[in-house]
Amino acid sequence: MSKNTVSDRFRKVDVDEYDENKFVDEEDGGENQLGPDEAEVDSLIRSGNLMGALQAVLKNPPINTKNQNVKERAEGLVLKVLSAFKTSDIEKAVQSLDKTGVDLLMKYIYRGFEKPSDNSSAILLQWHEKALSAGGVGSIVRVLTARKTV
Amino acid sequence: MSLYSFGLEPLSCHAWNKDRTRIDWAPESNRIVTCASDRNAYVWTLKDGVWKPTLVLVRINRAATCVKWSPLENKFALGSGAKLISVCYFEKENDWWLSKHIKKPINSTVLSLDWHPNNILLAAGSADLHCRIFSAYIKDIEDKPGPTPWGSKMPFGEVLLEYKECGGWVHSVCFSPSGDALAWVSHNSAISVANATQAKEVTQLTTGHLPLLSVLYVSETEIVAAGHDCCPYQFSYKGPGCLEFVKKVDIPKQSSKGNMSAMQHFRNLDKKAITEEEETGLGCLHQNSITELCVLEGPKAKVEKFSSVGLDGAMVVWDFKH
Repeated sequence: MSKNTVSDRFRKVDVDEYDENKFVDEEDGGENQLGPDEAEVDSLIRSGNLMGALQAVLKNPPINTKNQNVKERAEGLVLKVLSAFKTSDIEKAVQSLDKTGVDLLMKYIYRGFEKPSDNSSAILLQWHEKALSAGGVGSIVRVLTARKTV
Repeated sequence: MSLYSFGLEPLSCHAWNKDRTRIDWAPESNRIVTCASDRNAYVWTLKDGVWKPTLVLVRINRAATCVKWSPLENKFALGSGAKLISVCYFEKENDWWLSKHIKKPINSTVLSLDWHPNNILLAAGSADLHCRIFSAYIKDIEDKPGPTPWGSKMPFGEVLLEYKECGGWVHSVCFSPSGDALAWVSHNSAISVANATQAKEVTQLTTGHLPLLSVLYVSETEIVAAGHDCCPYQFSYKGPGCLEFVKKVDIPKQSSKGNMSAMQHFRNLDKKAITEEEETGLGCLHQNSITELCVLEGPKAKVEKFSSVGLDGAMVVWDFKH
């Protein structure tokens, strides 16, 4: 077989970067978004107020920031709260959320699917089922179409 | 692609063909404009029973995606993948159609267009996640327009509304019969309405359905929209913050699992190797996504009938009770 004697590094060039008409999302100031308050959420979990913890962890979602650490911390915190719930309480918890809350929960759930750990997928799937019946397929479509997400 | 003529009145009907060609029929002057992915548009006039095309100089270098006659039918607007809108009007001297382009600030393909009843304002939904209203005032062929709730300065290309939080590609836009409100549907499964009389405030309603592809005003407050869920939905807009879902327009009929004749039984067995009657169709009239809704009968302010066409190749006529 013929062997490549000339470099083929050109094949790895990202041509889209050189496109003058490339579509760029509008920048929104996201430097101040820090994600949900860890201390507040932790204390609510410890005191057994899981509904309160859920409301707290869904506040200040790091949607506009590009800081991956903030996003990961937020996701970890959400996962902690979701895992603390008993299966039978999940439905009531989801119903206490409003439309935007359900959409946000769905975003966190799918983000959680991306990096599965021990038992996370099973828990997330239970939450997914309840969130789906509350938000409909529309909430999943919004996870897919959101340009800026958690 | 199919066009149906109902009765003696020419109707304005949209239809798709495989090539994403778009078509619009002007009822009063009985002219058709078609545009295609070959970057051309033609205006067809009926002469002696035959449709004769006239070329339109659109000057775009990408496919045309949507076309609409203006209410007075002296011009039409054409949206394209070239990130611009071509507003075309007839020039008598050379017997052809000329175009003027609206480019700024469109950043991606124009997916849908709708004219305001004043024949000047044009709404455009685009894949750059924005919904905008432009002025398409062509001073060569018309008088200066009076002020509207959307604005009073309207030179060609002026942007009177630019909404950027649409959340997804804007598939379809529609002005209310009075022109004071603009409704659009976007790919994030939401329907939104902007109200000119209330400081252009936008109300968005997210739905739990699959994305809607087409939206149509059937009265000043009632809106019908349809899309990937294969069924038209009715919404009601009464003011800022009051956009709500009313009902599904298609009531699925309960199929009776009645007695099948022996003949049908054997036919099923022979053709499909099934022994029982199985429901493989969706529980609604359309069996695939609805791509377009169109007014069929009735003035814009009180639509009596509207039609829907879908990817299943079917066209359904719906009655609307006010």
